[in-house]
Amino acid sequence: MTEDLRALLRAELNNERPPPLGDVVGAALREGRRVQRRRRRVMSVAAGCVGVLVVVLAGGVAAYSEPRRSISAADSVVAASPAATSVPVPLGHAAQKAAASPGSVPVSPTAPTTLAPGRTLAIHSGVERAAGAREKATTGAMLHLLTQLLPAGQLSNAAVSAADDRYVQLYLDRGDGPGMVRLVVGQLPAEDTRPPRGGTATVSIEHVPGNCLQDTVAVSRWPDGTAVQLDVASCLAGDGRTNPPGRPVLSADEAARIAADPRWGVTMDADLVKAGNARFGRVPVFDS
Amino acid sequence: MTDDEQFAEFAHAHAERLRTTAFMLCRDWHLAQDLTQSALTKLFLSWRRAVQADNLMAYAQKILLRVFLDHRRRRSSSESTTAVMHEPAYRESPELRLTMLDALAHLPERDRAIVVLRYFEDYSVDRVADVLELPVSVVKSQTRRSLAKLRELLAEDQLALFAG
Repeated sequence: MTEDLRALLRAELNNERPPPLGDVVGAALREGRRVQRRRRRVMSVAAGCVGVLVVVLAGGVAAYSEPRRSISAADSVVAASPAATSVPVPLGHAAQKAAASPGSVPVSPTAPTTLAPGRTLAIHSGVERAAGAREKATTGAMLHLLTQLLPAGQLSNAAVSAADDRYVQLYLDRGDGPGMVRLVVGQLPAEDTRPPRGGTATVSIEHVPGNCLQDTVAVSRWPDGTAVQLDVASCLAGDGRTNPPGRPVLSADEAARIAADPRWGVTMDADLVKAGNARFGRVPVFDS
Repeated sequence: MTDDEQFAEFAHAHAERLRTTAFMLCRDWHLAQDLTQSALTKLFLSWRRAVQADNLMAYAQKILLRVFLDHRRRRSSSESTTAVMHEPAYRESPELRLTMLDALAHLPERDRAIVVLRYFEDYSVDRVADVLELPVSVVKSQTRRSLAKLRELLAEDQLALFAG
């Protein structure tokens, strides 16, 4: 039967008139190299952050004599470096929240800085409690978590990327008109044994001139290679040629706080995945 | 030879076959071309891991299958039904014979992939289970159901093929 079935399929295929194959290999090579360049860019940003992390740790030692206190996981800021200042960057209600951090790791509230052109922060994200099971992250779970982390406002246009896994989009209107954010989660390759996740994310904030889709980019990275990039756009999703105007709906600090949330990862809490899939299991796809 | 050159050599040698598999899954040559290109891009990105696989072509097919299933999932998530689908013409006019490829298109995506891998690519049940990341028992049961569905769809003169 197998042979007959195969022969029948082959006979029918022989009657087909396929178009020329074209340069699929060349196109795949070009696209692959483009993705590689993008990954390398993220990695170089992350590598720069490692240097900053060393400085931050040294600063932590220097500040060791100060009384320690726990700082809220999502909001606590260890270091900021906008312009050679050691004043902590306020993120939301960082100063007010001194509740127990999920990571329960006391963190020094101040730290030294760098003179990087963008800004690099070491944010104590805390360690997500490993109480529940974890599952492979889905775009539904990412959208669900993103809606929880974004400030209050009207949410719309939830979508997932046609090209990449774990790449989602949302519009947020805080009363001034809609703006778009896009978030991608990945894991940088490990050269050796992958270290534990750790409780501190190194977050870089950059502005990309001339790219409205990435007006502000916050990239957070954890020691285990988990990387989260949040793009705050100054335009809305386009049709492949143009992008209608929008407005950046998050400040750099808000973007950093969202990107550094400990719940992001290539695996996420099973309940979050379940709820996300139920809520965002069927959403449109964006291309540009 | 560099990694890029190795990849290009493999891709040039197997792109046509991958596109044929993709066509049998989606019945659209242009979409098959897109799926092939996406699969080759992903293969390029994981080339160093891919070359360590026992069977590089099977590895590429696995990527293609995932690209196809992912595409279908995303497309179905962004589409809505706008009209009632008419019954195929062959039901109203029995003289119009449904081809095997037409019949395959009536199977759910995953079942179609099982049939293509089992009966066109000649994969073993175990390998199909591995490629599609399904239990062997599911591959077996779905194969039986798919063949029964194909029997139901195909014209009498083709049913003899399933007699074995």
